[in-house]
Amino acid sequence: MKRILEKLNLLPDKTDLKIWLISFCIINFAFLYHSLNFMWGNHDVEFIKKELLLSSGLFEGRFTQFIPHRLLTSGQILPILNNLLGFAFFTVGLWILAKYWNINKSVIGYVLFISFAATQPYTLSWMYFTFITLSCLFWTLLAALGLYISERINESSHKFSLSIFAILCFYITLGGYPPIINMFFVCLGGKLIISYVFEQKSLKQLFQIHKYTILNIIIAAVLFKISLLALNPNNVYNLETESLNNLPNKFLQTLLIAVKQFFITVPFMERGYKASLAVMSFIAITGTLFYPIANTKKLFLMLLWLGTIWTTSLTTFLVVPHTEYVSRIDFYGFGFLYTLMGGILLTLTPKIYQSFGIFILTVLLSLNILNDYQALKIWKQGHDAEFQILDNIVERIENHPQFNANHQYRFYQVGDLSLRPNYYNGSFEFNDVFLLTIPYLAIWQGSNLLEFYTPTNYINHKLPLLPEDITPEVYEFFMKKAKPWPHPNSVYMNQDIIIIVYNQSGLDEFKNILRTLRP
Amino acid sequence: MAKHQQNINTTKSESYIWVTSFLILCLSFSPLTFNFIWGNHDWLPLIQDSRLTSGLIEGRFSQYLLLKLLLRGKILPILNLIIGFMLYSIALYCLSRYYFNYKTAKLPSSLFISTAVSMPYIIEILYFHFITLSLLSWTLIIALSLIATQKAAKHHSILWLLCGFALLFIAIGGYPGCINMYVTAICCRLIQLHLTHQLTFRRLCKQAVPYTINLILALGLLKITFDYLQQKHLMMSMYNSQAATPLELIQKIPSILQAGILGFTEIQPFLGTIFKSIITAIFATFILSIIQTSQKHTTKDLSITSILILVLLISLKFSAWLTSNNTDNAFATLDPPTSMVRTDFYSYPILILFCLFFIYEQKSQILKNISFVCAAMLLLTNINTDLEFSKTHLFGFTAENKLQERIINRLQSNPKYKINNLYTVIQAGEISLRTKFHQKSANEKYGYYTLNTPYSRHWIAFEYYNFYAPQDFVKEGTSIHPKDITHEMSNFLSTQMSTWPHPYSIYVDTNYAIIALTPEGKKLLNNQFKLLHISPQSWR
Repeated sequence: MKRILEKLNLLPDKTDLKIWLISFCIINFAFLYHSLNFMWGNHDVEFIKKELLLSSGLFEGRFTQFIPHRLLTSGQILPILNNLLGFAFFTVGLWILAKYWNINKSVIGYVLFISFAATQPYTLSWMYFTFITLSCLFWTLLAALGLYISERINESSHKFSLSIFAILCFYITLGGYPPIINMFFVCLGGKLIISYVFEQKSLKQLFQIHKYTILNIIIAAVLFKISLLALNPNNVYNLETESLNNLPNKFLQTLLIAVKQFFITVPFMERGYKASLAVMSFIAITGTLFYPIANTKKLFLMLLWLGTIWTTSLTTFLVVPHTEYVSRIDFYGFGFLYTLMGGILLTLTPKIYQSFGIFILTVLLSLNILNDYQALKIWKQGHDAEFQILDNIVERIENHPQFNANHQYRFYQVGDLSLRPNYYNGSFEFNDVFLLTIPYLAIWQGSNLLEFYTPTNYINHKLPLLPEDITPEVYEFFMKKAKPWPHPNSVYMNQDIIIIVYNQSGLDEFKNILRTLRP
Repeated sequence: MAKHQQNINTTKSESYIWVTSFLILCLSFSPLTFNFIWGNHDWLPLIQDSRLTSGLIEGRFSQYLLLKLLLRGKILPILNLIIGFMLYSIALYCLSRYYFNYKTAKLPSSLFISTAVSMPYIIEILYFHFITLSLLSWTLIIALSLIATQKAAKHHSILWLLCGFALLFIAIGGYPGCINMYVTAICCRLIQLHLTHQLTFRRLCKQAVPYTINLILALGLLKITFDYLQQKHLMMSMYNSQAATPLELIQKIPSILQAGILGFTEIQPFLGTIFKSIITAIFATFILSIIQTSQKHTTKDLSITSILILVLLISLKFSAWLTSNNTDNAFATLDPPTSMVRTDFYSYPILILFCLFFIYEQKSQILKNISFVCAAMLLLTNINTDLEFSKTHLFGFTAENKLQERIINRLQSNPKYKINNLYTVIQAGEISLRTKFHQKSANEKYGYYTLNTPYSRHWIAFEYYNFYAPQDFVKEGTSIHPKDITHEMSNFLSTQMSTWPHPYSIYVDTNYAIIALTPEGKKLLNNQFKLLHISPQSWR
């Protein structure tokens, strides 16, 4: 093992270990409030009690998603360790990326590069759902390793084995979360830019070295597609790819989206912060354009930059569902583009660029930490507020004169409540649900949530609300008397059913459904 | 100067070993450290300071010595656990370094000690906050006692012998079950001396003499102390403080041997199949390496080794061997002495620690690798299990407290509830919700304190019902005085009473509040009421 790492130049020395430790501590500090307050998202309710199986991700085509959990924690979502392991992998992944990009090695430079990249508020988007935190942060390590190894194939005598290993890295990550493809190409684009500018490589040389990377990614993508077909996953709601005919039209559309990402604000990434990132990006891009290379080369460099920026929207380009400005997708795309900008500043000459890089990354790291803490405070307040309402609803049900704890009720939740936004006073142009608005008490998790802490299980999980449950009394109640929580008429119960009304819009929708079922 | 620098480097390296194990232990239980969760006996001790005499009722006269010395008798969040973890990790460090005398390199030493300290036997110790610190500290006291007695054997010094005896007596005075650690460590040491240092039977016996003297003296004095305390009515006679008779001791040898072996295979909550398989593998490798070493020895040596291993197996359950067989007690059935995780905490981690070092110190590289791999796997399993326990503990505590809040809300919103009255609360039944968050494995047994006991006990209802109340509304006591039984109460108890959360699960009058929490509790209360045979004429 040691010899392999040595051959690949991946054996960490004392400085590297120091870099890992400092960066790991900074990243953990940025998300400390999350690690210490065990909060979980609305998909986690059952997983957190039971365990994640290897097959748990199959329904959405993520067939490798829970391999890290099964291997490391026997499928358990464990407080603190979930984050610690995820951040450890992310730290090492970013260290490999720094080596891949040949960032000037210094303790401060590497620490800033890694810490800045990992603490960007995009990372928060993986912390809402605890069941995927570990795996989705681990994919960054595998992806970076795949890229790093692919680059070394050209000069290695073990071309076949290295290719297999790299393909495996890409394949596993694609099977865990397909939008990681953004990271493959953003990082590859970054590598091409760095090699083209700083290492003065010709186009031919670039092709010679990186053809393996592209080939490995393509093979992994094909294998991924074949695996999906073989698995034939049911209920795959977010894997629908765009038809070839539509792709040319979508190219310009996604290029525009990619460029707009420099300016679009989302929760916890507000105007000032985005402007700072844009300034850093602008200086990094112009720095490379003014770098002493032949003028004829500059046109291709500009194309490389445009291509790299475009690849941040690669997923949006390839799939039908709208994925633009979604932070968990941008985590693998735009997040790495900003990281590239930081890395370039730390590598550019004259030295003034590097000093500026250290300055701006220090400022941005502080802003990242501030944004993360603000977000986590709001998440905690929202989490507590929503669960307090859940407690009150449980109490209301238990105190209901008709309630029998030994009975099995069919349950329906009308609407939901998202209280995180109540504690946020910032402004944004595009709302990212994972960062702010998705509720903890999701409509489809109502029954599991209701029984999470209760001593008895009184919900029939096999049968949903049936059309025959809509008796004239039920119909009358919801048409005329029902009101959202906390009104006394927000909880309805008879001998068969329990219905809870969370909000007015949910109630209006429910009334529309009821009209179609009018007894 | 060079020597001074070398000393600094050695100190640094030594500190690294115990700091690593301490940090691993802190990480394994960090959710418990940062979320202040306490057990069902802690409600009052959390508010009131523990006194030096608080443990006398169970004969544990030294139980609060360290808590008094270090934290002024207070149970303090974070500190309580951190100090306990620190003392425990130092104990295992001292044991391996200064008692077993293993001067193994930094990395394997850190790995082995970290693995041993994080073994999930500790989870039961962490349930009751009021004894956590003391139960963890006994490991260090015993380690020091062992080192002192070893010095006594080496230098023939009475002073060291007395020192060892005093420390042992203080430790078993705080929790007699910790004797397991003393005996297990001695057995391990004797095996080590016999195999590694090739001591003859006679020399081995000579080595064992000071330990035996201390053991007999300490146990004898403990028995005298128990008798004295009971005579003065300061101590209750409990099922786990009654000593077995000499005849019982002989009769129990086969069953204790069996229990010692079963300890490697018996599945209990949080001591699951993977964990047990790894510790069995470690012990099996240990036996294999003993056989390998013994090949060069005579048949006599082999029989000495076999005897020592049998004694070692008994020592793992030494406290259960010394305890009287009293299966009438409910606790003895729910939490039998031979399967008590709390006493296993003082033996199995010590054995595994010794086994890992012993295997690693063999010449064979394969054995070294096996010990390393097993330790790494066990460490990962330990951390996972400890955190899983923490999660279950956290969820169970939250769930039961939420239920408590709903019960209090219902009780206090009863029209008959008077704000200034003091009620006797009769809670029929208990609900434990930790099990709701635990995935039971096949053949899982016991786990009374690690999983099943609730955070609130019906006989100390006043402690937790008053805990968050602006003013006390529940008084001590759980019995209904026959003269206080009204027609309404009788009606409730005999006909109306239903279990929680039914509207008729709660009854309130001017003096009493009755909460029927579970069907079992309700049945028991019904039967008790029937036993009173009170004629309707006597109702008020």
